[in-house]
Amino acid sequence: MNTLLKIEWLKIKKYPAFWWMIGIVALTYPGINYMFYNIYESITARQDMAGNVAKFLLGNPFAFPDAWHSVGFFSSFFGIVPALLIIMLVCNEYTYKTHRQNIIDGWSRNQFIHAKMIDVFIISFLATVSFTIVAFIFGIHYSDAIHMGRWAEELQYIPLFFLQTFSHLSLAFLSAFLLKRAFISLGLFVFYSLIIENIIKTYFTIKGWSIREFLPFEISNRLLPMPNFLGKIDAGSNKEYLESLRNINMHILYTIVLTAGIWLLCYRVNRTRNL
Amino acid sequence: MLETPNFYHYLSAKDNLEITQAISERGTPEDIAHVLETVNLLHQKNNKFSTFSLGMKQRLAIGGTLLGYPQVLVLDEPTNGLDPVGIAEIRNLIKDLSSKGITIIMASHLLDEVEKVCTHVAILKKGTLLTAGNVNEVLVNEEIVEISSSKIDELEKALSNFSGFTGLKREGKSILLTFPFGQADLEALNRFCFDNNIILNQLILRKKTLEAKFFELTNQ
Repeated sequence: MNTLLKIEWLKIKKYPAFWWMIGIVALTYPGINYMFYNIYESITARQDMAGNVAKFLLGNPFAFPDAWHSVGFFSSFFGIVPALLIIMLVCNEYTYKTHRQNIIDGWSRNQFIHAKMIDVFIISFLATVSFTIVAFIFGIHYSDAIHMGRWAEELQYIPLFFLQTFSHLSLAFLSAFLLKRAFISLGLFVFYSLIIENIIKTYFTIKGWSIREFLPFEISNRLLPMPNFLGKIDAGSNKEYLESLRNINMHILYTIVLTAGIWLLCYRVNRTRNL
Repeated sequence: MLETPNFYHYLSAKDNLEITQAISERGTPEDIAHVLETVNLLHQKNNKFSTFSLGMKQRLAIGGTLLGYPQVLVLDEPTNGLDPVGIAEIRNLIKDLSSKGITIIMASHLLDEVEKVCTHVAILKKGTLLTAGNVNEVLVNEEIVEISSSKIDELEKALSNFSGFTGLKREGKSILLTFPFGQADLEALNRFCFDNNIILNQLILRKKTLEAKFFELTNQ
């Protein structure tokens, strides 16, 4: 596994798009969170009774320990950036036929998929590290002394962010692996994740039962539910929020099953298809 | 080695060979510089693969196969798609490797290249071995001598008394005589014509074209 990791790192470290992705993530993660911090501030800035109630009910979602959850949720909006990199890395292998060369040089077909899984792992890990740094900085900056003492609470959002990113990137890998062409894979990935899934989520039910929570992206999106301060401040929406927190454990299981299924499918297809 | 060199276009020659070495586990990373020197790419080792000409890419691919100092190389169409300069570079490289004791098995449809590079040849048709042996014996086992004179009819008549050739064919104002490989004696033929009061104005030794020989062997 160490050898595969070393080889994939040799391929990635001098790929310009990789460093572009790191740069874009380094800018967009703090940028989107700062934007939503301003929205939060505008909600709570009112000096009247409503503003004070909002502040009392919501707390500060960018102070510890809520910073881990809020920053994770907003940062996950930019999952498309690392997904783009994964699609390009995989499609490059097919465009330049280096996947064939790797296998002729000595890899087994399974080792090729192992190596790509390592790529997905590396990029998910780096995205998670970026999120962790941004959340930590936001937490330190917006916490008072009391909240600072609670910095280690809710650290579970770090592995949850990793799992969500790994799942999304696995879907990006699947699209690139099956279609082999960067433009088509990226088009399908963006079109499905941003448009098709949202249409299905909104309009499709099977015999009165909504399938929305079992859609490929939604399964892992529910690992990081929408922070409460973005919803209506009433008992109903708070109940819904608490329900979404309780459902996280179930969605961890769904996400693991889906992601394992994606990789098993890729191993199976790769064993039988023409090089 | 495949007929098309497959490397990461954004990586340098050295980086690409590092990946080849790590995957194949042939040789060590320290061998890479030596291999690049062998294929004459040491000075371009840090240049990106995408900036290489096809000949350089092909040489890099041969370099990849040299990691670990193999005794036998199998090259599939190594000169495919190359310009004359690229073909000459690969030809010289193959000859150089051969002189270092490496056995090279080369698949090619370019019969001219086969004749220039190989010592032995095997011709296959649909998986069946049609013939194999020394290149000169297999591909060039006949010689054709083209002669002409102002007295072409007398020349043709006189040649019936000349021995050694296996075939005679009149072609316009010339006569083509076919000899077994290595047996066309131009001096003797010239003297024979002179002794018969026929002055030749053309005397050329031609080898049977490889293409014709190939078609003959494969019955096409």
